[in-house]
Order: sequence, then C-alpha cells, then structure tokens
Amino acid sequence: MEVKAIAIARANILRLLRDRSSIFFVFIFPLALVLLIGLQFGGSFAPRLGVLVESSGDQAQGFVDRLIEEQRLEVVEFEEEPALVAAVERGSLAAAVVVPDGYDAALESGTPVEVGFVARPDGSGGILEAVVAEALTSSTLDVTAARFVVDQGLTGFDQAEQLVGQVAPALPQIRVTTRTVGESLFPATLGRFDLGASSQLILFMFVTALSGAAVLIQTRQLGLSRRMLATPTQVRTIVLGEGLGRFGVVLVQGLYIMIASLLAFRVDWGDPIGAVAILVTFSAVGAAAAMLMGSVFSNAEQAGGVGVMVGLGLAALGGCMLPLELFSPTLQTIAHITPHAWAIDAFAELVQRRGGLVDIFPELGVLAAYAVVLGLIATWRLRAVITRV
Amino acid sequence: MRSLLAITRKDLRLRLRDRSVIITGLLAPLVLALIFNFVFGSAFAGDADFEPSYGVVAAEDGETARVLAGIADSIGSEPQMFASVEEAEAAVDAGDLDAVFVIPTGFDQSIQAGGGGELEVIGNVDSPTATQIAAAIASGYGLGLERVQLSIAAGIAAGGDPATLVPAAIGDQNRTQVSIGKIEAAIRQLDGTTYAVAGMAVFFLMFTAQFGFRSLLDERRDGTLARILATPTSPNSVLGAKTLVSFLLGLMSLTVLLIAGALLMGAQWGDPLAVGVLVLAAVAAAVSISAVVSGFARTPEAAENQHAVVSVVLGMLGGTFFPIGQEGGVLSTLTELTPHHWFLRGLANVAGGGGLAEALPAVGWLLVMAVVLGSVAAWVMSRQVWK
Amino acid sequence: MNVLEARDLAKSFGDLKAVDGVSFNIAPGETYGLLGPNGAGKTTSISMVCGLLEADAGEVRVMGQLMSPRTVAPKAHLGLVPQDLAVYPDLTARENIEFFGRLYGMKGKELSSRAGEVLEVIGLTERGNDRAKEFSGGMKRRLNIGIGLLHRPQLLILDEPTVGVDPQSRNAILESVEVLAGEGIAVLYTTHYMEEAERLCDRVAIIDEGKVKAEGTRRELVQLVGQNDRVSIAGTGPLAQVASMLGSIAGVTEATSHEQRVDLLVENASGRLPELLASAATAGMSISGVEVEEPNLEAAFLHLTGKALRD
Repeated sequence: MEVKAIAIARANILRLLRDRSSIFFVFIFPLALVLLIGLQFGGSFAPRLGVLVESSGDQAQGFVDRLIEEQRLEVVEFEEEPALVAAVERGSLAAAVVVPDGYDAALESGTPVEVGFVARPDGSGGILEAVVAEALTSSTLDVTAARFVVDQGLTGFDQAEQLVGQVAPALPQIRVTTRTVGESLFPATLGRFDLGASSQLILFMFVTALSGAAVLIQTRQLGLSRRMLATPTQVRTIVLGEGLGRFGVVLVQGLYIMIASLLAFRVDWGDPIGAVAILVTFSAVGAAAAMLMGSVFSNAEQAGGVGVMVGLGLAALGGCMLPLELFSPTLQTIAHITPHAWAIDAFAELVQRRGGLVDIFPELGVLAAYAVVLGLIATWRLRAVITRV
Repeated sequence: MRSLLAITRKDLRLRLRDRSVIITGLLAPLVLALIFNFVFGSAFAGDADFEPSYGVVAAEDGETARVLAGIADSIGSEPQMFASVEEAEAAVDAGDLDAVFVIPTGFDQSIQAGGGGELEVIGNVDSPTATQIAAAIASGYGLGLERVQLSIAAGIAAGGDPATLVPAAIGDQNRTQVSIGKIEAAIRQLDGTTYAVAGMAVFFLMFTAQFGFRSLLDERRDGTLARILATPTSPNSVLGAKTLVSFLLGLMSLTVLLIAGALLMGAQWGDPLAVGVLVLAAVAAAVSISAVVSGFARTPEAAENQHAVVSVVLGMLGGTFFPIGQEGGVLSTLTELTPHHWFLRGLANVAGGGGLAEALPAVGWLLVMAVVLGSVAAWVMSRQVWK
Repeated sequence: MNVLEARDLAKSFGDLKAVDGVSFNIAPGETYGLLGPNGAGKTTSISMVCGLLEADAGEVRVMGQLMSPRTVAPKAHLGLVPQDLAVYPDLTARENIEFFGRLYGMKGKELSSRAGEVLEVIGLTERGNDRAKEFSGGMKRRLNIGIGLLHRPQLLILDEPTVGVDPQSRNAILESVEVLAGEGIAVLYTTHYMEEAERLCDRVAIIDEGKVKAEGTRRELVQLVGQNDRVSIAGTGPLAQVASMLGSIAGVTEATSHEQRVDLLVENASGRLPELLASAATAGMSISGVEVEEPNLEAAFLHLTGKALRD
C-alpha cells in the first residue's frame, strides 16, 4: 500500500518538475518572495525617518542631531515637503517629522510649539512616535529649563541659557536600561516584526498547499466516473499518495525560500534543524488540509474559493499578519486553534529565545497531530463519498 | 459577438449553479472581512485589545513607583507589585508579565537629594512591543525628572530660592513646551482599517479573476471546447467570453468586499466615481495577470497551483498584508509592478478628499499593466485554443 | 455540388503519421462511412474536416467553401457528434441544446421550438429539464446527437457514436441515423463495426494506417473479394497438401493453408460444403471445425489490410 502511495507521489512530483511553466512558478517566481523577505528581515534593519527642518536654528538642529544619534533609526533629511510627502506615500520612509518654522523662537519665548509627525499605517507607527517624542524631550531639556528660570522672573533668557549650560554637565544622570530576561541588551529592532519572515513564509506555504485540492478532485472525478470499486485500502492509498505529492511540493518550495533568503540576505531563521522540522510538519499540515478539501468539494472552483478563504482566514487568526503579541488574551487562545499560531510559536522559540529542536517538541507535536487528524478525516470522508456512489 | 455573449451567459450560469461564484465572489470575501474585523479591528482603531501587563519592583512605596504604576495601569491592566527583582524576573520569564520596571532602593531619595539613578526595564522577549513601550514610559519619566532637576539647579544658579523653586519646578512639568502633532492633511494615506480591507480586497480579486480562464482549460480537457469550435464560433469569441466572465466575477467580488468593508468595518473610500474607475482598472489588471498565468499552464491543476503562487507573491510584494520595507531601490520597484500597490495608492490619493484626477496616475499604471499583459495573454491563449 | 470534399489530407504528430493522403467526397443526402480499426486515423480526419485541426497538407471544402480552423462560415453547414460525450453536466438537456443553438445563430422562439423538436427526435422530451449529469451513457449519447442536429446541418458527422453503448440504445441510435438519412441529410459516419457500416452507409471508405485502402459502395467493396464465400476449415494434418487438393476442386477460387486451418474462397459454399469436407478428410485432414462467411465488408477489410477489423 505504501509503495503504491509513494509511486503516486513520485508521479505527481515528476509531473511537476517536467512541466516547464511549473518550474518557473515553483522556483523562479518565488524568488520575489525571497527578495521581499530578505530585504525586509535580513541583516540589520533600521526604519527610515524623514526629517524636514523648516526652521534654521540651533534648537532645531539639536533635535535633528539627537535623532541622528538614535541608532535604531536611520534619519534622512529632506529639503522640501512635496518630496517628503511622496517618500512616505511611496513607502521609502516609515515616518516623517517636520520641524516648523519659528521652532527656535517659540522655544525661546516659551510658546508651545508642535512638531509635525506622520507614520505609515502599519504596526510600527506607535513606537516610532515614542522614539521621536523622547528625542524631542531630551533635546529641549535645556531650553525648557532656561525658560522656567525666566518664568520665575529670575533673569533674562540668554543669561538663563548660559546658566543652564553651566550646571547641566554637573548634574547626575538618570538612566534607563532595558534588557530581556536572561539575555543581553535588548535587541530592539524598532518596529520590525522579527517573526515577519516566518509569518510570511507560513502564509505562503499554506495557501499554495491548499491549491492542491484541485488535483485530488480531478482524481476523484475520474475515479467516480469509472466507478472504481474502491476498497478502504485503495482510498487510503489515494489520499496518502496525493498527500505525499502535495507535501513534497510545499516542503520544497518552503525550504527553497528559507535557504535562499538565508544565503542571500542572512535572514535569521534560528536553529537550522529546528527550522527544517517546523517546515516539515507544517507542510504535512498543509498537505493534509488540501486532501481534506479535495475530499469534501466536488468541484475545483468551489475548492479554490474556499481554499483562499480558509488559507487567509487562518493566517489572519493565527497571527501571520498582526503579531500574536498584539492580540488580546481571548484572541490569543482562539489563534491557537490554527496551526499557524503553533508554527509561529515554534519559530519564536527558535528566533527570539534561541532555542533548539528539543525546545519546540510540543509545537511540533501539535502540528503533527493536526496533520494526522486532517488526513484521517480526509480518508474517512473520501471513503464515504466513493462507496455512496 | 452573439457567440461571445452566449458563451458568457452559459459560463455564468454554470458558475452560479456550482455555487463557486457565490462562494468565491460573495461568501469568502465576506467571511474574510468578518475575520479581519474580528482580529484587527480594534488593533487598527488604535485602542486596547492590546493590554500589556506590567509589574513594578520597588523596595518602598515611593513617588516613582506610584507614577509608573499609574501610567502602566492606564494603558494596560493594574500592575503587579514586587519586592524583589528575582520574583519579578521569574514572573516575566514565565510569561505572566510582559515587562517590569525596576526601581532600585533609594531611588526616590537620591532624586530628591539632587542625585542620579538608574531605572531598569526587564522585558519578555516574546513581547517586544510591550517592552519597548515600557522603555519609552520609563525613559519619559526619567527625562521628566531630569527636567525638574535641571530647572531647579539653573534656578538656584540664577539666585532663586530653593524653597519656592522646588514646588515650582515640579508644577512646571505640566507645561508642555513641545508636543507632537499629526500632519494628516499633508499626506494622503489610508487609515489602518481601510488599508487592511483594501489590501485584502485586491488580494482576493486575484483569485476570482482566474475563474473564466480556468474554465477554458477545463473545457479543453472535457471536449466541449472542441465542440464549441466546431460551430461557427471564432476562437476569439471564446477567449473574449472567458475574459468577460473573469472580469465580471472579479468586479463583483471586489465591489462586495469594498462595500462590506465600509459597512462592517467603517472603511472610508472617498469619491465613488474615482473609486469606481480604480476598481475597474484594478479588475482589468488582475484579469490580465490571470490570463497570462492560465495561458502558460498545461492543465487546470497546474493553473490552479501556479495561480496561487503568483497571487500570494504579488499580494505580499504589493504590501497588502505586511508593511513593505522602505529599502527603496529594488523592493520599491518590485512593489510598483503589482496591481495591489497601485490600487492602494490610488485609493490613498482619493481618500484624502481627491477626485478622479487624483486617482488617474494609479489608474493609468493599472491600465498599462492590463494592456501589456493582456496582449501577451491573448497571444499565448490563442495558440492554446486551437490545440 | 458535393457537400464535402476532402483531398489529400495529411497530418503528423511528431514522428507519427496519423493521416497520410486521405481523400473522399460526400454527395448531398449520402451516408458515407469511414470504416477502420482503432488508430486508423478516423478521428484525426474528422477533426480536419470539422476545422478543429490544421491539416499539414491537403484541403477540405464544405459546400464548396474552404474549411480550416481559421474559417468560421463553413462550420454552419456541419453538425458534429464527437466521440467524447462533450456536454455540460450541470446544464439540462434543453439548456445544452439551446446553448449550442445560440452558437449557430438561433434564438428566441425559433430556438426553443427547435429544441423541443430535437428532444423529441432523440427521445428525451420527458427528461428535457433534467441535468445531463443524471443521464445514463446511452441518454448522453442521444443528447450528443441531438446537439449535432439542431441547426439542420447539411452534413452530420458522427464519430464512433455507438462505442460502449448498450444494445438497446445502440439500435435507437442507428435508427435515428437512418431516419435522418431518409430526410435528406448527408451523414459521415465513422466506425469499426462492420454491421453498422453495412446497414447505414451508401458508400464506405476502408481506412487503415492513415490511408484509404479502398472506397465504394458495399457491393463494390465486397466484389473485391469476389462473389465468394469464405470457408475456413480448422484442423490438423498435411494442410498444405489438403489446400492444394481442395484448390483444384471446381468452384474453389482460392485455397490457402495456415497453421491450423485451411482458408478457401468458394462460390456458393453452402452447396459445396459436404463435398469439400469429405475431400479434406480423405486427403488426410483431421477436421475440428468449419466456418462459413458470406462476403461482407469485414472480409473485404481483411482482404485489403490483412487484419481483422476488431482485434
């Protein structure tokens, strides 16, 4: 039985590899995805902040300098607003800051002044705003204190500024350090969803896996039309064989993207053995889900539509699009109904906690269980459908 | 022409009968819109389904502890208080807390005496956002303290009386000298919810646009294509019909999604005419892409597969689900090759209150895509029809 | 003017020469058969005739108009009933018919009443509103034919319409073709069943390995084998001698020996049979069986190609 299943699988994979256009779509087109993942998550990453300074003054410059010092950002200075605006719209800037005309004067006279800020509508906006606010506050500390002195009626502004300059260096510092439990200094790549690479890969693998449902439907249609007398063994063989074929294709695609992005862009996937193990089990889940869909739907168009819905829906629920961290506790529990959440958890263990294969055994176990259960339901369902006819 | 319409009618009828139109054109997008709303709705609206849980380690119940706990409480839940760092670390490590603020013993006294100090934030590695927020809070607090100290020191240097200066400086913290304001008007972009809905809508469009062409491959396999060609029907009519079916189904699903998004999630679209034209252009572009993919596929199954790959990759490249890194260069160029990007850009331009004119550049690029790819597809498919 | 003229048609698929110089004409109202085994090139020829396949060489004219995949007008004169049951399973019988009718330019009341007529001709009036996927194989075949007919073509092309069909439906199909032929439609009928060709066709072309081996009326073809019956005596013994001995008997025009039988062409075999058998026995043959075949197309086919029609 298994031999025949492997033969079916082999035939499927060979068929895939011989078809030239298939090769293109399996290996060449996904390079775009490799590029996407690699450029976004490879190596170091610093969001780009555009800065437009409309005022010419020391204070304004001081603020900009403070931003430049912030290593977690990359500051890009602009001369004109249209260019700045265009850059944010295009996405070549994560956010932009505009220092208005009269900034210095306002600070010196004690008038409240507003610095303009805008971020792109993705998750990093909040953090970037916080960083900019911090830079703003710390760069205006001196002038604010000077202004206070003036408000107290003690002296004029220039004098106050001078005094502040004299006393400041002598003041003891109040520092804030951040670290993670047991780890060294908090890595903190600002606004980058460090698990984004694995999330994108998982989304991709699952959706493309489900498209394999059509193959099984086709086989079923031919089989039904010839009214094969299907014994239970035969049904299992079909499911296993088609499933194996699908599993192979999905796994190859996944590994290809992972390895290519690692080699070309040094994207960090964590411990290699663990990462491969996750891909293997997740591919199995995807393949089993495809088989289930192939056994439930009678026509490939239906399967296609539902497949996308399920694929995207699970991805969204499972934390592929918005980090699980940002989910409410209820939502996090719900998320773990999806295999995606477990795969992401496993990657989190590898990438963020630097764990190994042993550390992800629970997650791998759950994924394997998904694959087995889905596969069994598919077999049962297929058997029921065939013998009914 | 009449053949084209007859085939189109027949296909639409068949697609309605097998319910695939209803599933892919209506049900799936609606369900997805609901799921997205459920998962992302509050996240994008900016309010807290995100409730970080913090803790505070303080040997005594001082000012700092109270202030930090208060801030933590306002953005998350009531923070847990700890006496020792080890206990707190353990709680963070166990995942019970996202981060803790560590206030060293004697911190408040040191500050009041005009000295310095160090605050520590210990975070859970699985909660980077919460940790970064905590760091920002602590840092903001620290800066506030520095401001007070500096004000007092400068005041004293200017000859002021410490007794009045200290309370004055503390009170002065309420004076906001600098603040951050949003420059909404200057930049045209979609708010979070609208962006998500639009992104998903155009992503989904790529799948429905495939229908007509898939049926072409099916008919070839089933022999009905030969039958059609045996009648006085030109291959072009057949291709035209399949294209029209794809177009109509794509248009339907995209429209349903946009409307559902507005009604269910409060997405804001802007001028209907401009949006309508954008929708038509986007559908045309999507159809042409599907046509090319189907044109190169040998079997319906291969088409299904390849189509899925293309749709997902383009969708990701187009920035529909994830923020596209702003590396400029290659990635920006790649993004601009996707219909998703232009559709979203066009909508952004319109959402800011623009009309048709604002949408035109995006519409233009979408149509260019449609024409170029459409020509390629027409060439490839006409060969296919005759086999 | 001939309804169909096919001249020197040729088509290769890679190295395989599927059709190699096929020519035939069909006159108005004539029923013309293409008789040959599987793989003879019948379906490929049909595809070229219908304008579905581009011929490598040769030309096809329908009602005088040149036919090719690129032309559209001549197709209106043809009705194709393909070997595959190419109907839409999710459409009803009537919907299937009406859809194709529209492709032939019919519409409105004309279309619906004609569809009703066709349903009646093929005997599916009561099932007209049922979906095709619910039909039995035979019913699908009838629907197949109905679709070919509905636009009243000058030439109806049936490609092996009775393969895999139960005897009852088969008979119904043959009867319908006879009726249609009676109404004056020209029919091009391909088959590997000799009885069908004999029953239906005015003229037959015997086709094998992509070539037309012979063409003519049934009588003309049969005459190729002469007015002789084929007698086949199975047995053992000195068969070569038996054959030459039998061959010298009056009325026996041909005698050949094979491994375990002797084949004879005999005039009026039924009368001479006892004599033949006695002589064979006398000559030392141990007889195990006798077969007598009257001249027919199958014999002609065997004679022309050295093969049986059905293997």
